[in-house]
Amino acid sequence: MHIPDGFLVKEVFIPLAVVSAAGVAVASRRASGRLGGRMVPLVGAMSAFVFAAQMINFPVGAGVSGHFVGTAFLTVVFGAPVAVLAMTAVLIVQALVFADGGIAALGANVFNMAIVGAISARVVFATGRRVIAERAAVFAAGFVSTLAAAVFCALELAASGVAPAAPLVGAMALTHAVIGLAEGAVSVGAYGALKGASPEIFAENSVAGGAL
Amino acid sequence: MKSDIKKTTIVFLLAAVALTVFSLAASSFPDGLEAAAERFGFDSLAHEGVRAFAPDYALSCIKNEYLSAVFAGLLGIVAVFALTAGGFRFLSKKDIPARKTN
Repeated sequence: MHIPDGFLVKEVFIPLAVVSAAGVAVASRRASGRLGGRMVPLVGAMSAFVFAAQMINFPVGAGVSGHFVGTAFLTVVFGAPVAVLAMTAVLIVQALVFADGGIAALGANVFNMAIVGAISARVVFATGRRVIAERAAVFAAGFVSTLAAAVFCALELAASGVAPAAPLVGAMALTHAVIGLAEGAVSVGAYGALKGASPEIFAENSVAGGAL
Repeated sequence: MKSDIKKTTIVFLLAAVALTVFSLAASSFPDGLEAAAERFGFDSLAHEGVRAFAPDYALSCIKNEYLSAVFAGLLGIVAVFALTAGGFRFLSKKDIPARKTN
């Protein structure tokens, strides 16, 4: 769901760039000093993993493909502020080095996949784990964050006048609901493996899961 | 205990590298957004404002399509790791200057 340049009009991408810049600034302030120094290389490695996983598109039916996004996974492990910053770094590299996502559209892509993705994952995970099993909450966070990002993406495109809102949101929501199921499943698998292999990360990490 | 985090860091880096090997096996179907763009007829609006270094995850300097994709992936992994680890090091000033472990 990386928006290329040309799809969004400036009335849409400029405000989104401003909002995303502000969002990244807020995330930096909230993440500042809360991540232990030993966690820094781990966040880097997990961000690199998310980048690599995003290159693997899998078919979701009807000649359409999708890929793991990773925002929800980073959010449930490190909290929303760190996830926003890590995803922003991934999106910057994708746009500048690989032309995956436009440069003018970078703010919009950060808004959808990093900010909307992390906040929705955080809200779903934090509320979900109070009422359902933790892993089910991780699944739900992956599903909802992918779907929410896609819906915002579709709304921005519709606001740019490329297609009527209702059918576009419907089409994007439908394909990304399927992608979201895979996102949820991969997030649960990765979260479970990480928790089993390295409980220490969750024990000492003051930003895990609940941080906004 | 300390090696726990270090070990996990290495596992994620190795997993990232391993994934680049599979990148050519990725589905070439359009993704959700591209498919919607084709269906609603706005796909032709896409354009590249600035020429990126390795568009579509391929390095033009490497002729072999497979190696080109793998090295593009590796380049991206290094870039993302450098940007995030560098950025977060700056933000997590707490215990970095004080201790000289590793």
